[in-house]
This record gives sequence, C-alpha cells and structure tokens, in this order.
Amino acid sequence: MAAIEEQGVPVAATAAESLAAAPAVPPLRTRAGIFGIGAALPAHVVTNADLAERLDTDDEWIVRRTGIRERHHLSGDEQLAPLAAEACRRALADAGRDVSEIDRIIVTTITPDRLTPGLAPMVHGLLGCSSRTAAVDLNAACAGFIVALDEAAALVESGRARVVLVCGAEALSRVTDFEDRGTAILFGDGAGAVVVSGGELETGITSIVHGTDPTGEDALYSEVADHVLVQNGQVVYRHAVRRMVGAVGDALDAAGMTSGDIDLFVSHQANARIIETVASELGVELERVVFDMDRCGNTSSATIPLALERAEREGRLKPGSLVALAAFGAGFVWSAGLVRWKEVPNAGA
Amino acid sequence: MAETTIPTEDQVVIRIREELAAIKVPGAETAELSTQWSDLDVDSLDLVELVKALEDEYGIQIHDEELKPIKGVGDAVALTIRLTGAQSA
Repeated sequence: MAAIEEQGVPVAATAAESLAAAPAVPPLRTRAGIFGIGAALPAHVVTNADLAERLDTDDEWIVRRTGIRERHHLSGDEQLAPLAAEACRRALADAGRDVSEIDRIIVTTITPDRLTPGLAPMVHGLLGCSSRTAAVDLNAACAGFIVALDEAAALVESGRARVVLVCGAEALSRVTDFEDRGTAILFGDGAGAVVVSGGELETGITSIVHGTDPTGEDALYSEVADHVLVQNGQVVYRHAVRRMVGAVGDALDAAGMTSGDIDLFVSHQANARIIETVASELGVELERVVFDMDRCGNTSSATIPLALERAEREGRLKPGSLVALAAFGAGFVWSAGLVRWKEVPNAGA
Repeated sequence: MAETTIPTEDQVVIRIREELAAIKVPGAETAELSTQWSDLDVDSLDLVELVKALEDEYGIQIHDEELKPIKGVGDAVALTIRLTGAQSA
C-alpha cells in the first residue's frame, strides 16, 4: 500500500480493481453461521447411584449441589476419536454437506487419545476427508467450543475456508479422581459438532467476546504427570459467574441487543447452580435456559454442542431463535457470543 | 453508591438470614452469631452466594483467600464489619 501511495495512484480505485480481479475474496455480506449439528455419547451410563456404591455420597446430595443425575463414560479401551467422528457425521448429514466439502476440522479437547497426533487428524481419517482438509486441535479448556466457533467463523468470513467442522470432544473420565467425592461426580465424556459455513445471513455467528485471567491458574488445573483435574470449587464458581455475566453483557452490547432478545441461553454445563445464578443476573428466566448436565455431567468443551443438539431435538430451538452462548474454564479463560439458529443449507454460499 | 456506614452485628446477621433463606437453606431463620455452616448444611457454593450478597449490600470486596476461613455466621459478620470499617475509614 505504501508503494502505491508513493506512485500517486488513487488508493480507492486500486482497491476496487484488486477486488474485482480476485474472485476468491467473498462478497462483503458473507457471514458465517451454523448449518448443521450432531452429537454422540458413549453407551456406558454412570448414574449417581453407581457412584454412591463406592463414594460417601447419594443421589439427592449430588442433584441438589450440581444438578447432575448421570454421565456417560468411555469404557475399557474405547477411544474418543470414533465418538467425535460420529458427532461430525451427524452434523454433516444435518447440514446436507459431504465430507469432500470440508476445508478444515477443528476439534476442541483437553483429553485427546494420544498426546500427539491430535484428535483432529484421527477424526479426519475416520471421516475419510480429502488430504487437502486441514485438521487441528484447539485447547481453550471449557471455553474451547466458542473459541473454535469464532475461529471457524473468521476463516469463513475471510474467504479462507468455505466449510469448517467444529467438534467439541472430551473424555474427562480419563482425568477424574474417582476417590474424590467432590469431583468424581462431576465429569463425563461426549462429543458434539457443528458445521460452520457462509452465506448472506442476517446474524449468523456474531459478537463473540473472549477474556483471560491467568491469576486463576491454580484454581482449576491438571498436572501433566498426574492426569487428574483439581479444582477449588468456590473460587471457580464466583469467577465463572462474574465473567460469564460480564461476557454475555458485552456480547449483547456489541450486537445492540438486550437480554430480552435472547430466546435460549446455552452455557457451559458445569453446575446447575452456576447457570441459574448467571441467568438470574442477566435477567433471563429459567424457561429460556438449557440444562443438560443432568444427562451428561460436565464434558468441558463438548457441553455446549451437546446441549444445543438436545435443545433442538426437544423443540426448544426453532428457526430464527437467538441463542446466547457462554463458557468459563481453566486458565481462567471465558467466552460468550450470539448465534442465530439455524441456517438452512440452500442459503449457503 | 453502596452503604458505607458500619453495620451492627445484628444488622449483618439479619441480612445473612435473608440471603440464606433466598438460596433456600433449611433453617435459615435460626441463624445466630454462633451458628456454624455445618449446623445449617450450608455448602461451599452457598457460601459463595452469601458472600456475594454481602459484597453487594455493603459495598465491600471479599477476596478468594478469605472465603475458606469463614466457618460460620460469626466469621462472616466479623469480616463484613472489618471490611466495611476499613473502607469507610
């Protein structure tokens, strides 16, 4: 650009010409949206009663304090990649897209099957993607899904990708201390995926905001050697509430909306009480809130797509619904954003 | 602007009873200075909500590391009065 100005060429005319000469640049109105969703859970269900057999706890205690009734765990030598791939297949089918169309797979996880390679290349292989399809893991703890959604939207809106699969896949049973009744009850395994693509959409995926506070690193962590999640529940709880309320408020402000515009609030599912408190502070009645921890527990970055899939299946997500997303996790990191549900395949670019 | 007058012990105890009742702790109305959380089945997350209510009511800030030592109503009242006093001083 500096060279152009030195030559005295009018910048505006040059920019317009370069746009016209480069068809790879998408029309400015292209927005990214969610076109399909899918989910998959392991077959093995662990109920509160199952846990009560080996821990000093009971169903009533767990439900009152967490809202969790059961969770799904991988069993034996079951791997996570096939579960993630199944969620992706269902999302692709829902969107009416073929595997050959995927430009990139982003899998969010803190519990991949191997330290390396990541889970995404394994999912790529199981789906039978083209060798030109990128496959990358992303770790933003429990906020991973929203972060990946933001990155997928940026790729689509910039024209660098046309179809991106975003999959949250976790096997938290691998990092659970089953001797600790405070955390053994919380965690589950599961996978959920969405297809992100573009079109001349009114809202799509919008107003995503993020935040980071590394002073919280010792309140929620797992050491590489120990492979066990440790958390200070009180500290996590108060920061999670504060940050998610703030982030959803920022997202609404950025979109020029208020909490009254939210049709459904789908947040990370760590604990029913966190969600109730956040919703209350936002002024969102519980009728507009999704609770899915009763069936899945906390599956880290998989909770939001799992909850979205359930909400749609139960008829709570309708075409045009405005969904507010929020998540908070180890770091601390947090994210929030707004999504219009759900784009129809034929409107895609 | 939040209240900066230092509250009395009785005032804070009444506010604590109200908040415990609001978060549906059984027996909230029986809370006295000598009541420990274990007496009322107040769990760790109930305490976080109670602390937030006290912060909002009295315009104080209770830090993460101050949560654990709050074992009962008396601790919560003493901390609230100390922080309110420090703020208005």
